[in-house]
Amino acid sequence: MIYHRRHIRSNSALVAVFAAAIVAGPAYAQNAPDISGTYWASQYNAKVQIVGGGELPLTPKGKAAYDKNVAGLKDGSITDDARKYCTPDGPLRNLATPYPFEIFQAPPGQITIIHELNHQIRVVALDKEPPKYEELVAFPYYNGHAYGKYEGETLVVTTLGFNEKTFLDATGAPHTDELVTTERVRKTSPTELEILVTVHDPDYYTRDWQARFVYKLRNEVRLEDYVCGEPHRDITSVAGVRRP
Amino acid sequence: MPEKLRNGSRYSLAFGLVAALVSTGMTPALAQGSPPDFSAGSVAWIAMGTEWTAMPGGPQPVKQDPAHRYVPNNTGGQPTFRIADLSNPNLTQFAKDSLKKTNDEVLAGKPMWSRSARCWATGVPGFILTPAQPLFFVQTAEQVRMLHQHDNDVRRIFMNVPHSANVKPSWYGESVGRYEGDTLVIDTIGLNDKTFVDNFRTPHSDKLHVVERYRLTEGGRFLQAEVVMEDPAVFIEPLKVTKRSRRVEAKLAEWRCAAGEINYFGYDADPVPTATTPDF
Repeated sequence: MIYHRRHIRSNSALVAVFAAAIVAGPAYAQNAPDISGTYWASQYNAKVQIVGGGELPLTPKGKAAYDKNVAGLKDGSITDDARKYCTPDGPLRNLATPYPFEIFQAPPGQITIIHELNHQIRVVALDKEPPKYEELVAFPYYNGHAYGKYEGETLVVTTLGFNEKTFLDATGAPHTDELVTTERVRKTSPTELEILVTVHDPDYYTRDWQARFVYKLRNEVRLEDYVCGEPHRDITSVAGVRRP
Repeated sequence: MPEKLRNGSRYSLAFGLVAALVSTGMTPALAQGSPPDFSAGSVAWIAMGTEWTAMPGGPQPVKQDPAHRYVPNNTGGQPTFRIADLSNPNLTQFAKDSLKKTNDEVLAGKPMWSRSARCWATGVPGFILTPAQPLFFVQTAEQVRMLHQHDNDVRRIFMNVPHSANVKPSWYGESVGRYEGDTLVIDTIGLNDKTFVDNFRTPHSDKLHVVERYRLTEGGRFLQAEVVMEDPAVFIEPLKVTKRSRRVEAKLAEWRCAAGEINYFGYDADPVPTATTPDF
């Protein structure tokens, strides 16, 4: 009888554990790595740093677009909407953020990435085949439409369906609306996250290229409200940040 | 049947039931005793109406002045802007003065679109009054995020922790939460005084204290919010209201309202949030 009671208790405990798992998220996907948490970069680069070094492998068309962006941002004929109106930063530039962001492996079937900067929300649909460019071209997003799957310890996110209102970095590195990014997101240690992103945009770049972003796990940090033009949190601890 | 095997069967049944709930995306909140799940299966919630409903027996929220007809958008007639009824007996003089100023501006011809329509953070509890666009929840054991598709606004609720000792006022304040059976209870303080508690632009002070209770009703087809607002600067008695939202199947879309809406149909409307100098 004692044995019986113990089992009832343990059964109840198991039910409670699995009920909790419903709202806890990561347990949903069997064997999914736990990449949840609040992350914050310690380094900011206005200019995107290519893995392997060197300059952006621009096509002539890409170079013309970059030159136009650089000149326009300098003389004011092009507005940097992400900094003036706080629209989403767009591909790669959102990864370079000097503000903290959160990754939730929830709700089930989805990864939700919430940025403090410009209150950007990226929804990554899990285990769904990305649609073709043609299906998304009518609904372009600043941050694109994201589709993810786990490959071992890595979350692989394919994003496409971008608008052409953003730059790949703060210097004005260009992209077209046919850009496809592939992000490989993984924990490199219990307290560090790496995102290795591959840029595929053959109209503007002669080859695919990669950039690497690393973040510290900072679960003690609470994200704050971000309203355009208001004072925001102190980010001077992030090396490379220059406030005007 | 041997006792051990019987227990094993029960174990498998319980496991199977919960596993089935997870894999089918059924609303686990309907499973008795578990916390409510407002997010499973791409579920979102659209507010029904843009005004509060009073709880029985309590004071009334601000309503339209009967001397001025309010015509909302998309109802066939020429839309008008709201004029608050200043005879509401639960309002302090401070609240009446603030609402009169707004009324006077509307009567003088100023277009008084909602603050959310001009891309400003809506605060608490105004967050759940934004119409037409879905509200999403992300729930974990320690955190709840409320994500409004409108301008992709975010509220953060920290579960099972007390309020901080010194809360710096902010647009969405500090929200702490807990589950009480089938109800998510959210307690919010530390709100700045830049938002309004309703679409009449009823003001509040930074002493506003809001308690929201969210639960599913009618088999999970509706989300019911009971909201209690305490702010002696504005309300003589705490205001107790409800807001009902209907369930929709949706995936959160990127939706931003600021870019390109600076000159809103050429009207002299509120400005949209803009940074005169870049943040970094």
